[in-house]
Amino acid sequence: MFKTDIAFKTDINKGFLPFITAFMVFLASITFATALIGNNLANDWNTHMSNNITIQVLPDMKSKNPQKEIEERIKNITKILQQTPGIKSHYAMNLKETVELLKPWIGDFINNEIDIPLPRIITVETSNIIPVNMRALNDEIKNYSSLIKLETYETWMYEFKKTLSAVQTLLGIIIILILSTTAITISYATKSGLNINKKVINIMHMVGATNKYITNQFSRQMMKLSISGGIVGYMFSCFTIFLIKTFSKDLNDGIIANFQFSSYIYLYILIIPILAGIISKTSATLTIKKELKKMV
Amino acid sequence: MSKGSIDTTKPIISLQNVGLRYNGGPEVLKDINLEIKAGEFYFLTGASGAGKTSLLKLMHLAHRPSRGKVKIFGHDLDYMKPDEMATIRRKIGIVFQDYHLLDHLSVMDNISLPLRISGRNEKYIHKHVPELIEWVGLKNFINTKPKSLSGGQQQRVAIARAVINNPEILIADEPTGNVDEDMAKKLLFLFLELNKMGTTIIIATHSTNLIKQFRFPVLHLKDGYLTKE
Ligand SMILES: Nc1ncnc2c1ncn2[C@@H]1O[C@H](COP(=O)(O)OP(=O)(O)O)[C@@H](O)[C@H]1O
Ligand SMILES: [Mg+2]
Repeated sequence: MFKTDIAFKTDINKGFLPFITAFMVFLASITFATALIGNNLANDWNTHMSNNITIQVLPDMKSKNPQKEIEERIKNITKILQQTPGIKSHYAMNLKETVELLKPWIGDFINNEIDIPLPRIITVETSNIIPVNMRALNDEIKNYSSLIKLETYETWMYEFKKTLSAVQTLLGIIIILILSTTAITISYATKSGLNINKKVINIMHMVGATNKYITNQFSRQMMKLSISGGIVGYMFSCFTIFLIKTFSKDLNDGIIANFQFSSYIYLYILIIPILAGIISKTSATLTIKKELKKMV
Repeated sequence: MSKGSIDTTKPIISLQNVGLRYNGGPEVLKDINLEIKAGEFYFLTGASGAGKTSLLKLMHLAHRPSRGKVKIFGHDLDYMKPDEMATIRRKIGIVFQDYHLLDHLSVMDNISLPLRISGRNEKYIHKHVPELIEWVGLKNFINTKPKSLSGGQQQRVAIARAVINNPEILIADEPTGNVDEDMAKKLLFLFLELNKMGTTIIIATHSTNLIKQFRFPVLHLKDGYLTKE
């Protein structure tokens, strides 16, 4: 019912402000999305792989009959595993499977008849309910033979998470920088907008407008411009994320098979345009208040 | 109308020993003592450069005096807070000598400005503003920007803006300087109409015709001094 966009000239900011906010929101949203996807990835791996242990059984190269010894070791390890509480299942790859697995790297010239000692892998799935005493298991295996290596997913994940949180902190700093730049840009745009409108503001004062009224009207107009830019920036980032998602689906069987993320990401990054809006509004309002004080 | 409650015995504009100089220059207004009571109607005359505009500016709080006291509606300018000043200004309609219209707004939006600032809703605005626009003869220019209007037409827009919010005081700085005699008379009748409803009116003018015809008291400025005739 009440007109909100009266009086001010906004021409100079009409193209600039929406563009700059769209750009800033796009940058910040994509950065934020990257951080979120990293988290998603970590969680994904966590739930899918944290129940996995890999045990490598290495051949003794000095031995005369390494293959036979390996089989022996596998048998013993299997025994240990069976006695360890919390182990749900375990599976030792046989020689044929190992050869299959290694073929892409070693090539076709090996087959099971040629007796090249190959390391073998036992995959172990642990229970969700009963925790495995990893240290005890590790000690036991080490005591048994130095040619057996236990790799828990946790040690690897720990490193990954450390790297991830460092990267995320960096991304967070980038987002803060982008949003601060937005605030400064809005402040300058507001200042130049006020300068253009000096006469208008003077006349509004003369006909009895309070500073509060002028501040509200003016910041609302600035907000209109920057919100339109924010929406465009948000839509662009959603579109970009959508493209990445679709593209990575095509690569499903490739290295980044797990590179899928929930559609909630579109909702999560909505926080960026909202934050940008709040920051813009605050920046515009503070600038107007400061400038109006100078004018009186 | 709220103006009925105004005490007509107390001055609503009061200047005591007021002097005004610009940037340390000579005083353009000297020892002004003036009391205007609610409902009064004054003409303000004086040669060009005599200080008419300056005096009117003191009355609508666009300037502070270099000395002396200015009180509007009993409020001392020296102790006025910004918001209080804004409230007082909303009760004063001003026709500026150079119109002070907003170039980028239509005639309609220019005239609506005081109503919007006072928080009137759009329904009220769209009912009352076009009526007044028609009355001042600008019906066909309702959506025109001021720059495309003649001086006289702009003057009428300025007058419409000054009176649209039913001001308690109307201050008009040579409001008929650019219109023909018929229109000048018509506008004067508008001021008269407002005055009958209680608006206090001060009009700076050069037109001896109007002064003769309407026979209101005349304030005269000469060499910075004010005399009442
Ligand atoms: N803003 C200003 N700065 C300096 N001098 C001014 C200003 N406004 C008016 N004057 C001077 O004050 C005197 C009175 O001017 P003004 O009030 O405009 O007279 P009038 O309206 O009667 O023509 C003139 O000498 C004018 O030059
Ligand atoms: Mg003048």
